Amino acid sequence: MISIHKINDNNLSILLDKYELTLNALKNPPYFIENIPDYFYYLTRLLKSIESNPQTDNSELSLLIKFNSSFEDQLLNHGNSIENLPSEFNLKNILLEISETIIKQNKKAETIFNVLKEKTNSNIEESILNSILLNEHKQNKVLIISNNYDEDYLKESIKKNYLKNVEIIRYKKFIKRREEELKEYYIIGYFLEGYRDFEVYHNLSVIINLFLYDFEENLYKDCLNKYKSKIEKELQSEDRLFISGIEYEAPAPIPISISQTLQNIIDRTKNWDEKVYDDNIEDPDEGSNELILYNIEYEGLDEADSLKSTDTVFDEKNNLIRVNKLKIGDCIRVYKLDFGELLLNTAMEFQSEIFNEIEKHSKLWKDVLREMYLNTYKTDIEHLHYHLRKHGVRVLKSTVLNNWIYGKTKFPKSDKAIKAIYEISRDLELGLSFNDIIKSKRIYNSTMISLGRDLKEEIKNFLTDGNIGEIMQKNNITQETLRKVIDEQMPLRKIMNISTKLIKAEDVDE
Amino acid sequence: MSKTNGFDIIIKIPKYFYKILDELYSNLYLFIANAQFYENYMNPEFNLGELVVKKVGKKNRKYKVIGINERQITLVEQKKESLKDLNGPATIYVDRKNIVKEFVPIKRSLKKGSLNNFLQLFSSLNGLDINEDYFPTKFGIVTIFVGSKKIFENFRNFTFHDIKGNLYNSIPCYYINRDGKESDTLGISPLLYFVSSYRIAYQQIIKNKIRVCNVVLFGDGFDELQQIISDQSIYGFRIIGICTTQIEKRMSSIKYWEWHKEEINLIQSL
Repeated sequence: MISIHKINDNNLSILLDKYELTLNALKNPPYFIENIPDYFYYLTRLLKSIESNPQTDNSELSLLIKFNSSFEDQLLNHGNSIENLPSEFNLKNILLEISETIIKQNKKAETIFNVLKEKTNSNIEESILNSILLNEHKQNKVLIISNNYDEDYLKESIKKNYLKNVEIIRYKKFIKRREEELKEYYIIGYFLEGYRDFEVYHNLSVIINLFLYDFEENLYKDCLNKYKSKIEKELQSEDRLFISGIEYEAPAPIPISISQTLQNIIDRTKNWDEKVYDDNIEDPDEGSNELILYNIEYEGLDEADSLKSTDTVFDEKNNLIRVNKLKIGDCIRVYKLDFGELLLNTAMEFQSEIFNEIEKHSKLWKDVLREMYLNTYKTDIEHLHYHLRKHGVRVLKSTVLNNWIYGKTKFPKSDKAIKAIYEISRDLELGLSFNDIIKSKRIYNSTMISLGRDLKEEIKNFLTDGNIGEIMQKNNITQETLRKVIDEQMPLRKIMNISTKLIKAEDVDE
Repeated sequence: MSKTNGFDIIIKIPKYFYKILDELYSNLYLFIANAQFYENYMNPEFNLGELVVKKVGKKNRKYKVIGINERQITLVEQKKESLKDLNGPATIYVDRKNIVKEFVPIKRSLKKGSLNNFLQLFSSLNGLDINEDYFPTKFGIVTIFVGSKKIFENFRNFTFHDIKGNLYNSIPCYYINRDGKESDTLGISPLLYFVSSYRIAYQQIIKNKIRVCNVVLFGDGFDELQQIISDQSIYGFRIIGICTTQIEKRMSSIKYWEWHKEEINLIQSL
């Protein structure tokens, strides 16, 4: 069940209206801009954001928006440039203004933290009384449904505010939890991605308290209407009529008017399957076409590390810490052991049948690509890369040649790449196995991610108390070996300088 | 429950109505068991070499059929090696007309209590007299249930008000695990099979030419449905399903009824 809690933010509402007006104006000549998908991605990120920092002008999201060039590119398509654009048409500035407004005073975060304080304070006083006076189920714990990006920030804020009995759970884990366990929690959500998560929440027996901006309520209503029509379709189904003999007449739908901006946000998710949907909620950075790289230099060393803002490293106390939280003077270990083989062996041992399939599917697309590279393109990587790009594959040449054709990469990151290879090669076997390859790719990636996470956890435990974990044990790695590998490959280093660099996501080697 | 009339159906109930689901699972299990019992209620045959036990009386005596002629059936008592007496095993001659009143064939040694559970349940469901009437214990037509072991184990919690046994230990059923290993609830040939996946059922039951009347699916993961439907055209069983997650796409050959929580809540509030 969903219970909506509306948050009013006047400044934000005004800015969104302005955004909508400008976007509509840009449809006209001489701009002819229909839609800027990247901007809707960033807009949803902003509406979901619960980060607040009045001291900063440049949140990570603002940096990414500044770096994104899709608006400029679309202007250029019709010979316009952002420099000569009248200020009332500058959509980028409005989006940045929205971003700054939210980071300076995040009403969503404020509301949620007030609720948290109220819940956790009242619990202490009321809990004894409640247990005597009320027989009903007590909710003396709070659970916040979060994502990979916000998780650490939330944890920190909770610690800073000395809030007790608050737990953070990532979306994917949350949907797997048993409902009986959830009964004792007051559950907080602060975003609604679209219909899929709506349906999950709506069909739970526990209440999900969704904190949304008042204008986001229409998003909820739109989902509710969709749900209603789905039920009506079932109620009016031929099968039901056949079984029960009762005809059902659906009442007319309740009309809701939705702004173009919200409509675009809803439409973003329209073609996502469940997996893509859950991945996008779990890891909002996934959808971003831009990346912030942190270049970390160390005292007394020439080499530097280039890490993504959401990567984690070990600090002096062996805690895992986000790269974007690092400061000059911190001592860190960067986790970069090459345990790929080890993970693969472990996975194969656990699920040998599945992994034989995966090997087969991995070989299939790689063979077709290599064959094409050698025979059709006569080793002209430029030409092959050009054709792949034309089919929507955005990766570096070096990825295609060194990792896909000749390297260890089992599967490319996006499904598009395999589709493109099929479209160019028209290889029958590849075409017939396409769906199975995609399935194998997903199993492989998710297994590797979860094993990788477990391995990192094992290394953390080893660093803290010297114990060898299950994966290490299975692969006969002793304490001495691991100690040696860690000392050699990930020694503790002191940070001398941190600088950031923005790049396009496609410019990272897969 | 024969396939000649009626239709195949799948009913979806949201997962968290677990009490309703439990009741549906157990009632359907009981209902089908009894229908299946009735379906197998035909002329009893006793075969040479078969093990039989006495239906009535406190003693749990096991015999083997060693002779059959027009009038009589000859039984020899089966005892453990350590209990054998010097005079050799007792041989008894039972009138063919009376044998079904006194004896039932079994698959292996079983406790008196287990046999009583079975007899009591089916006598109370069908108004049969344990002392007089025939109780089939060999079943030529069976039903397969596909679901998690948890659902199956949960039948132990389903009890009857006037009978000692529970749903689990009163109905002869074989559980077959993923590796094909069988275990039974009673020492009687199975009336029902419970398996964790249809693949197992196909390999161990259907392929072995055991006649299957119904394939009943419980819980989530109806991912084998396409296969089941294509096998249905060969083997002619009925498909019944109680599912908790939406099936991927509706099949024209199976009626589908999805209960929404709004409807169930409404009915429960009446």
